[in-house]
Amino acid sequence: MLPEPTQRLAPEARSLWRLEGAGWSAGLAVAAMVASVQLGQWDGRPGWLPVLIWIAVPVGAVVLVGVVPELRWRRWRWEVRETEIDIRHGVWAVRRTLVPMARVQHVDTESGLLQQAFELATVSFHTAAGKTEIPQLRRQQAEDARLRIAQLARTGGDV
Amino acid sequence: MSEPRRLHPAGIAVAGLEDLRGALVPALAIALLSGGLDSLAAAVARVGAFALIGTVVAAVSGYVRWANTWYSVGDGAVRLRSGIFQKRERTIPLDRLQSIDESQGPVQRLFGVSQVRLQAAGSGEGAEIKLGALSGADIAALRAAAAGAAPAAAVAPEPGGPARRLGTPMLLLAGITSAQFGFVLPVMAAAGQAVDELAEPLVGWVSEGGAEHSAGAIFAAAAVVVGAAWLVAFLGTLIAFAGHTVERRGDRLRIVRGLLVRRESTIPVDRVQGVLLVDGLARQPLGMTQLRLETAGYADERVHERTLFPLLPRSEVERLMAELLPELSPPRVELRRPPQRALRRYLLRPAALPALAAVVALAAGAGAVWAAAAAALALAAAAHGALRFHAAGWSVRDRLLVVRGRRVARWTLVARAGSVDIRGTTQDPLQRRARLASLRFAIASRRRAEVPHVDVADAAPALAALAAR
Repeated sequence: MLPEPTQRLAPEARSLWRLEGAGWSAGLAVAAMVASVQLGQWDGRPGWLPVLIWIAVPVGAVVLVGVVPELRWRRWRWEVRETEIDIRHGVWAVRRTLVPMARVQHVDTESGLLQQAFELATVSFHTAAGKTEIPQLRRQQAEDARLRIAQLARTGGDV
Repeated sequence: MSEPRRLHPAGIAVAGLEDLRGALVPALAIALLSGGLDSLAAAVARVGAFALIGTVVAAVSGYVRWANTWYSVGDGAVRLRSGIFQKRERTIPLDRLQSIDESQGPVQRLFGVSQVRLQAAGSGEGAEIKLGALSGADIAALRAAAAGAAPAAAVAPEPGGPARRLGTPMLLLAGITSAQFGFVLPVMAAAGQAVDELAEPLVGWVSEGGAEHSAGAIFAAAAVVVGAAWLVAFLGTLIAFAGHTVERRGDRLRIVRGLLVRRESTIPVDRVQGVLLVDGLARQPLGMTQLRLETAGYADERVHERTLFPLLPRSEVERLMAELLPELSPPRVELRRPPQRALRRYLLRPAALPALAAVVALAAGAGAVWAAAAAALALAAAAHGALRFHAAGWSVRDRLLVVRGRRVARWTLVARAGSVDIRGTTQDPLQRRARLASLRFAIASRRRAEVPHVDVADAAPALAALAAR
C-alpha cells in the first residue's frame, strides 16, 4: 500500500560516523580512566567493577566504530516524491516518517566542519510542526534534493 | 490617519504600572532584607518608603515612555515607534494584519479606554503591536484606516452569531477541579494519622537527630502545602475564566473572559489546526471535559489564551462544536484501538524499571521497606499503563484525524488531516516480533500525538489515509 523509500545516504557517511564513533570511544576511555582512579580510593569496591569498566571500553569502541556506522547506513532510506517526503531510519527502533510536500515551509542544506571534510551535507526541511533532516548526502546530491523539494513545495498546494 | 499620534494619556499610568510591576519583587526583597530582619515596624516603614519612591519613579518613567511612543496608520502599514535612547520601530503591513483585538485591564477601565493588540500572521514578537491605551474614537479611526487594505481584521466585533457562556456553577466547578492533585488533599489528611507506624522507617531519615517529627506531622505539613497550591489553582481559575464567552462570527472565533483583566481575542478559524479535549483527573469521573484550541502561530501564548471552553459535560461537546466550530466537530466514529495483545506492553514497559529497582534493593539488602516502595511504584506504573491502554485510539475520517491517549489526564485531539505535518511509525525489534508498531503524528501547532503498540496491519492504512489527495 505504501511503497518503501529507496534512496540511500552517501557511502562516505559510514566513514564520518566511524570517525565520530572513534571520538566517543576516546571519551569513553578517558571516563574509564577517571572512574578507575576514583574507584581506587574506594576501599569496599567489588572486585568485578574495574574489570567491567576495562571490558566496556574496547567493546564500546568496537561497537561504535565497527558495527553501528555500517548498520546505520544500511538502514537509512529516503525518497522525495511529488506529494511527500518519505524517510526510514534507525538501528534498534526503526522510524518511518512521512511529510506532505504541501506542508513544507522551507528547505536548507547544512554542512558542519566534519561533514565538509567528507564533502557531505544535511538537507533539513521545516514544517510548522518542526524540522526533519536527511543527513550525510553528497554535497551535489544534497543541493539537488534541496532544489527539488523547494520546487515541489511551492507548487504542491497551499501551506 | 497618516501623522503619528500618541496614545491616550492613560497610557502614562499603563506604562508606569508595567514598570512598577517589573521592579516590584526585587524592590520588595531589597526592602525586606536590607536592614536585616529587625522589628516588624521598621520593616513595614522601609517597605512603605520603597513603595512611595517606587511609585514616583514609575510615574516618571511611565510619562517618559508615553511621551516617546508614537503610532500611525498609512502607506499600507501600521507603525509603532518607541524608545528613548534606542529608537525602535515596528511595522506591520496591512495585508498581513489578521486581527485587531481590544481588551481592558483595571487601569483602562478606570479611564474608559482600551488596550489594542494588532496581530499579523506568523509568530513571535515581530508579529504583534500593542497599544496600551486608546480611546474609543481613536480605535474606530484605526479600524477605519485599516479597512481598505485589511477589511477582515478591521471589522469591529459585532454582537450576533452563536455563542456559549460559562455559567457561575460551572466556573466554580472548574476552579474546584482545576488542580489535578486536588482530590489528594483529603486523602493525605486522613492518611497522615493512619500510616504513622508504617511510614516511620521511610520518613525516619527526614527527621534531624532523633525522631522528633512523627510521620503524621510530616504528612500534615505536606497536606498544608498541597492545600495552598490547590487554593492558588482555584483562585487562578476563577480570575482567568470568569464570564468566559465564545462567539462564532463569520470566519472568526471571539473569546472574552477574565475577572480583573478582561481579555478578548479574535482567532481566524483557518488558524485553528485542531481542538484538544482534556479530561482532567478530577473531571473525567464527573463526565466533564475542557476544550482547547490548537493554533499555529500562537505557540508562545499561555495555555489560558488557547482555551475554547474551560469546562462542560462531554455529552454537550457535540452540540457546542456544531454551533461554534463545525469544521472540527469530532466525528461520530468508533476509534480504532491497539490490539488486546498490546496490553502486556502497556503494563510491563513502565513497570519494568521500578520492578528492577525493587529486585536490586532486595539483593543489595537495603531493607524490605525500600523494596516494598519500589514494588508499589511498579504496581502504580502498571495501573497507569492499563489506563493508557484503555484511552489509546485513533481514526481518520472526513478529513479529520482523531487521536486519543492519556498522559495523566486523558486527551483527545481532533485535527484537520491537512494540518498533519509529520506522521509516521516507530518499531523496535520486540514490537516487530509481535507485529506491533507505534503511530506518531505532529500537527502544525507543534502538538505531538502518539498511539503506542498498534497492530502493524492498522498502521499502514492510517498513514495512507492521511496522504495528500
